Amino acid sequence: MRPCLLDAYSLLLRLYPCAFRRRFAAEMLDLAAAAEPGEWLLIFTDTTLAILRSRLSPALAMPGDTPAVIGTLDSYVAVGDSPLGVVRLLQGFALAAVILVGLWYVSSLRYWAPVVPYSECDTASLAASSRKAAPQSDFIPPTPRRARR
Amino acid sequence: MQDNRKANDRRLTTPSLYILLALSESDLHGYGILQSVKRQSGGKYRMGPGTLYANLATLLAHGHVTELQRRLKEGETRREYRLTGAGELVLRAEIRRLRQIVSSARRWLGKLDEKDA
Repeated sequence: MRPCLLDAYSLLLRLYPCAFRRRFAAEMLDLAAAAEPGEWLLIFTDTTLAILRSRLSPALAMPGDTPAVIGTLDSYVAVGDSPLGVVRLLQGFALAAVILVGLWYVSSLRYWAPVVPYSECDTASLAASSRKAAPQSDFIPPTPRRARR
Repeated sequence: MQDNRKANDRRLTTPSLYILLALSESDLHGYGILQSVKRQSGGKYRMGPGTLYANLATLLAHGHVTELQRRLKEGETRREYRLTGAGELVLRAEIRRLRQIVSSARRWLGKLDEKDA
């Protein structure tokens, strides 16, 4: 299990910008190798978010010994001023839209059925579907209220 | 002047503060920093490698932290990180800022306690 997780993690690290990966990926992999089993969820989640952030921030690849920088003011938070600029917000909005469309597409493939409260179910359609599913059964569908009147 | 004001208007992010605090004790490698952060926060603040190295990269770029290669046995080396003088100044300024907040919060809470009594 552990080698599989490490392989998956090393694949994930490939998504970092090149300069950052060259500089820190080996250390990050060592760190993950030393992690306890309960820490893997944190490691994967945290790294995924950091990769997204690094992709949304302007990454600078500096030559020589200068470190690869992610963002320019990453270690500071401006007080009373949002660190998110308009461009960054638009990028985030576009990313959120892509994720939502992706989720909608996957859900449209019917891999899972959405949970609908019984009270919101249309009793007539429920009855029709149950008839289709089990035509020989003795199931009597509940009568809709309109029909009772 | 404007730069000073900008510097005063900023505060360190929580991960950066914890990293600088960890390095104020001794030179540490990545795993050592994570362990130190866990210990300092009593296990309440847990930092992942993504957050750690993103912040380390920026602290290195700002010159608050520097790196050094420590020789281990059998010719192996390990990269460790060290707090610089500039980093210590930033850390002290941040602690001063937090202390002011805590003292004013204490005063405020004292007033509230008097009202309640």
